[in-house]
Parts: sequence; C-alpha cells; structure tokens
Amino acid sequence: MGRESSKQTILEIRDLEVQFATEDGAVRAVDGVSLSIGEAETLALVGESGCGKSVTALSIARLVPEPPSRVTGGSIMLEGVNTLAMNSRELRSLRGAKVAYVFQEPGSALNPVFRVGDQIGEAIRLHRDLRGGAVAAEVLRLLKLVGIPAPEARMREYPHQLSGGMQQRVMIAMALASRPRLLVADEPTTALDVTIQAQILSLLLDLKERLGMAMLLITHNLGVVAQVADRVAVMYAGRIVEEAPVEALLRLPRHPYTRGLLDSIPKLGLGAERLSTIGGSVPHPGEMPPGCKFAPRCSIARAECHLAEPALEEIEPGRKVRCPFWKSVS
Amino acid sequence: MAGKSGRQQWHGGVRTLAGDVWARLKRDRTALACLVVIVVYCLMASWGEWVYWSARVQDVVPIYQVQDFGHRYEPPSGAHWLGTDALGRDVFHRTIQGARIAFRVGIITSLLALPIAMVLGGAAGYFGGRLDECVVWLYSTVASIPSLLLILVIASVVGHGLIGVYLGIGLTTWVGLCRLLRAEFLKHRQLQYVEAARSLGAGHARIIIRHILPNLFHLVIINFSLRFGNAVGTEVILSFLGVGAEGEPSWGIMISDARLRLWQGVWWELAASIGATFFIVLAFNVFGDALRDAMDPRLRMVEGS
Ligand SMILES: Nc1ncnc2c1ncn2[C@@H]1O[C@H](COP(=O)(O)OP(=O)(O)OP(=O)(O)O)[C@@H](O)[C@H]1O
Ligand SMILES: [Mg+2]
Repeated sequence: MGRESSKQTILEIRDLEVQFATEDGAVRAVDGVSLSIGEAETLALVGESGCGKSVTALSIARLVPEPPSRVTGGSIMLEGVNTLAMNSRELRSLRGAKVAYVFQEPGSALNPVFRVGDQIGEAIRLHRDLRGGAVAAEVLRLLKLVGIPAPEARMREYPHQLSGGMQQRVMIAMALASRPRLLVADEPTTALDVTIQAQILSLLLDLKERLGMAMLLITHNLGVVAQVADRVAVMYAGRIVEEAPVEALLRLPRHPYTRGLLDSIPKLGLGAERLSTIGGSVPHPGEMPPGCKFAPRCSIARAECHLAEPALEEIEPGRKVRCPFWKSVS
Repeated sequence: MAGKSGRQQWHGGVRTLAGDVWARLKRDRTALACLVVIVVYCLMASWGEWVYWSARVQDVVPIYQVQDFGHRYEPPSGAHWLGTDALGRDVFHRTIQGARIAFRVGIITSLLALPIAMVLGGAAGYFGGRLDECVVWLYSTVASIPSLLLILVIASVVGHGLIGVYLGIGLTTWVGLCRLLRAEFLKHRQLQYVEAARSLGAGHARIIIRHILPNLFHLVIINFSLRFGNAVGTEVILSFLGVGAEGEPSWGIMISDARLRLWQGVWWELAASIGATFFIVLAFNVFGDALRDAMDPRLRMVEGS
C-alpha cells in the first residue's frame, strides 16, 4: 500500500473545522477532520448525505462560500503551503492549477452558451501561457486524452448537444487543463447512467495513473470505492469515524457505522433478507448528541457511548477507528 | 448518440444560439415586417446623417432648412413628395432628419442606460450585501419619481436641446433592466457553472463578464429593442413640449408646428411626423416582444438539458 512508502504527501488536512452561520446559530458542518493524500494516491471519502464530504473537499481551495461559512480551525497544506492562509489572488492561482474539481452534474457545470472547445480553451488560458493555435491544439489533445471520439467536431458543439457521459469527459478535460497535482471528484458518476458510470470511473483511474495525480474521490457507492481507491475515510456527522486501506476496510470494517454502510449494499448471490439499512437518521446539526454522534443509531452502543465522544484511535498501522469497542464489530 | 449526430447533419453543421434565434424569428411574419421597418428607418437615419454632415462640411444651408416663401403650405407633389411647411421647407427631408434625431436619441440613451444597468445590476446581484442594498435603494428612488418629471428636471439643469434629452432619458431608463439583471445574477451566481468556473481559478470580474453576462445577454438585446422605441417616443413628446430639440427637425417639433394648421387643411406635415413616429415605435416594441419569444424557449431548453 502507498501508505507506508516514502511517497511525498500532496495534501495534508489537519483538524479542519468549518462552521455555517444559520438562523439557529452556528452549525459545525466539519468538525476536526484530518486527512492526508500521498503522491499518485486515491483516497475515497464516503458517508451519508449531509455528513460534510463536499464542504471538506471544497475547503481545500476555499470554495465554500464565505459567508455563510467560516473556517474556525485547522490547517490545509497543499504541497506544503497552507491554503487557509492564502489571499484571494493566491487562491485564484491555486485553483485549477494545483487542485481541480470535477462535480456531480456535468450538465449544469458547463456554461450553456459556449462551445465546449472554447470552455476548455478558457480553462487552459487561465493558468498557462498558450495563445491562439497552441490553445486549439491543446484542446484537441485534452479531448483525445479523455476519450472523446471525433474531437474536431465535438469541440465545436454546445454542451446540450453532448450526452451526460460526454459532458463529464469535457469537465474532466477542463479539470486537467492545467495539470493539477490533486484532482477532487465529488460524486463524479452519481448523475450518470449505470453503464456510463463504469466508463467514467475507469477513465479517471486511467488518467490518474498516466498523469501521476493524487485523487480525492467522494462517493456514496462502496462498489466504486473497491474499484478505484487505495484508502478510504468514512465520515459521519462532520467527523472521520474510520480510515483504512481499502481491502482491509471492505473485508473487516471496524466501526459500527462502516459495518452498517457495507450491509446496506446488495451482494450478488445473497438473498434480499441479508440486506439491511441503518436505522434512524443522521442527527440534526443543531441537536448533536453529547457523546458518540453515532450512538443513537448504534446496535452495540453502551451507556458510556452517550456520555463522551471517543477519539480517533490508531488500532494498527494505517488504520484508525473512532470507536473503543471496535473489537466487537464484525 | 446516433440521433444527436443525425440531427446535427440535418441542420448542416453545428448551430449557434444566434442561428437558432434567427431560425425562429424567420417564421414570425410580423417580426420580419417589423425588422424591415426598422432597417428602412435605419437607412433613412443614415441618409439623414449624411445630408446633415455634408451640409456642415460644405458650410451650406442643408436641404431640409432651405426656406422658400413662394411655396408655403404646398400639398405633396412631384417636387415635394410630402409637401412643404409654413416656411416652405421640404417636409420629406425634414421627416428624414427626424429619423436621424430619433436614432441618435435611441442609440445615445442606450449607450448610457445599458452600461449603467449592466454594471449596477450585475454587481448588486453578484456581490449582494451592502452594495446590493445601495443599488436597490438607488433604483427604487429613481423609479419612484415620475420619469417625465425627472427628465424635465435633468433637461432644465443641463439646458434645453438634445443634450438634455440624451441625459434625461439615458439616466432614468436603466431601472427596469437593472432590476432584471440583479435578480438574474442573484440566481446565476449560485449555479454550478459559476462554481465550476471559480474552481478553475476565474476571478469575480471574469465570472461576471465572461461567464454570467453572456448567459443574460438576450435580456440586454430584448431591452435594447423595447427601450429604443420608448426613447424615440419620449424624445418626440419632450420636443413637442418644447424641452427637446431646438432648431432641428425633430418629429416632436414638426407635430407641434403642424397641429395649428390642421384646421386649414394642411394635413401632410402632421401625417408625416405622426406616422413616422408611430411606425418606428410600434416596430421596435413588436420586434422586442418577438425577440423575447424567440429567445426564451431556446434558453429554457438549454438550461433544462
Ligand atoms: N450553504 C449552506 N448553508 C448552511 N449550511 C450548509 C450549507 N452548505 C452545507 N451546509 C451544512 O454542511 C453540512 C454538510 O454538507 P455537505 O454538502 O458537505 O454534505 P455532503 O456530505 O457533501 O452531502 P451529499 O452527499 O448530499 O453531497 C450539511 O449538512 C449542512 O448542515
Ligand atoms: Mg456533497
């Protein structure tokens, strides 16, 4: 696993805390999250809707709108530079160049009134000193790189003339335009047809290998995780509850929440009766339980779980769990 | 996929948004008729400009100011297609000059009002906060004063003549577009394509000008067509009231001059100036509405895809 090797760290998030100002007061959407991604490594971030995955990922390039949000603690080191200390000019030259994003809905992430070739060209010109014909040549190269057939014709089309899968390939081409070190893909396949999802995933995987990028992949889909990621971090209610190499986590989850997530995916050959869902729902941000945030839904919770929140413990090299009773999870 | 490329070939290559709007507009006969009217007026105005400037350069009395007391109040004839007025001046040439003034008013006031609306509306909607409050306060204030009154005040401050008309109309008619653009920017700044642009490193100015504004430019074009007609109408009224053009053959001045002689059977000057005003105002308004129809469904389709 890439974890213990001497590879350079690309991203190091430490104790990140992000608050939102709402009508009911400040809500802590991200609460003490620490993550790191090494060179050419893929980290998957999984968890239920609203647990703070997107806010964590967008914070890297300070893309969460401020206000209503505010970073109240922690640090984010991207290639050794703290992005939380950057001014807006430095952030602009960071975005796209060092870290680039691919979003969930390619249809609405493309500008409807410009040809896709022009949009990719704009992304190239933002950070690179290419002009005129060189830009057009680079657009073609990128379109080929992301596997778009007949790129000369495609680059002159408008987004609505492309299928969802092709639109997502264009988004990926734009993200790659300035050769970022880190690619953040926030549920890149959720909005696509099932058959297309696999194609886009294998494209991302292939590009990552070829370009040597690090990748932060956000997903609901643990099947995707198994296919693409090196390591997995599981989030719950703004916290990391488990972090592990992907095979180890899928084979033997150590947090009851991860166990629940794994049990809720259908498995081939097993009857539907094996399928279960996690009872209850994510606590409302305003009414966080004082102890372990998962305790109200946890089948192995004990009295002390409701009193104090457990710490994220390293139980073996490369493996962390926020549950003192991880041995009883099976 | 196959269906899409098939559709594309059928239309003979990739179509632009403008091409699509034109295809829709072509099917609307009324709109086409209005467009023809507008083009004819445009030619009239250009010709008027040419007559005006060539007379100035050669330092001679322009043809529309040549007085001929021997031929006053002559009805339309081969020599004077629309007759002559109280000073024996040619009404046809004066009507052409009216088109020149009307187009100057339409263009110059648009050059004032549209940038004001785009800058204030765009900045207020995009940035929000205190700036937005100030802009909303400003346009609410301007909108709450009857615009004719405001125009009269501005015109009387800068003195009579067309400068007052340009400033008066230009500085009071940006409110509608500004309000519309503010609301649209408010909506668009939250859309994914803006977030995507920001994530690639685009700054605020670039996002406003290069990303959002092109999505809203159809609103500016529609507004231009509608406000052009209204500005022309307002200028005619102001000149009629005596606070507009002076010593120049605006349609408003012609109406004002001619109305006293109508009972004597001198109908041609009044008919020419009222008719000229009526058709251009009507054409711009109808064409503006047709543009709106032609552009809206198109954009809905694009956004919905
Ligand atoms: N604009 C906002 N205003 C107020 N609170 C917000 C805002 N955006 C996010 N939040 C808060 O942050 C929390 C985390 O949101 P986030 O978008 O990161 O969730 P997510 O894990 O990405 O969910 P999903 O899987 O649905 O994308 C939300 O539960 C919400 O309380
Ligand atoms: Mg999200």
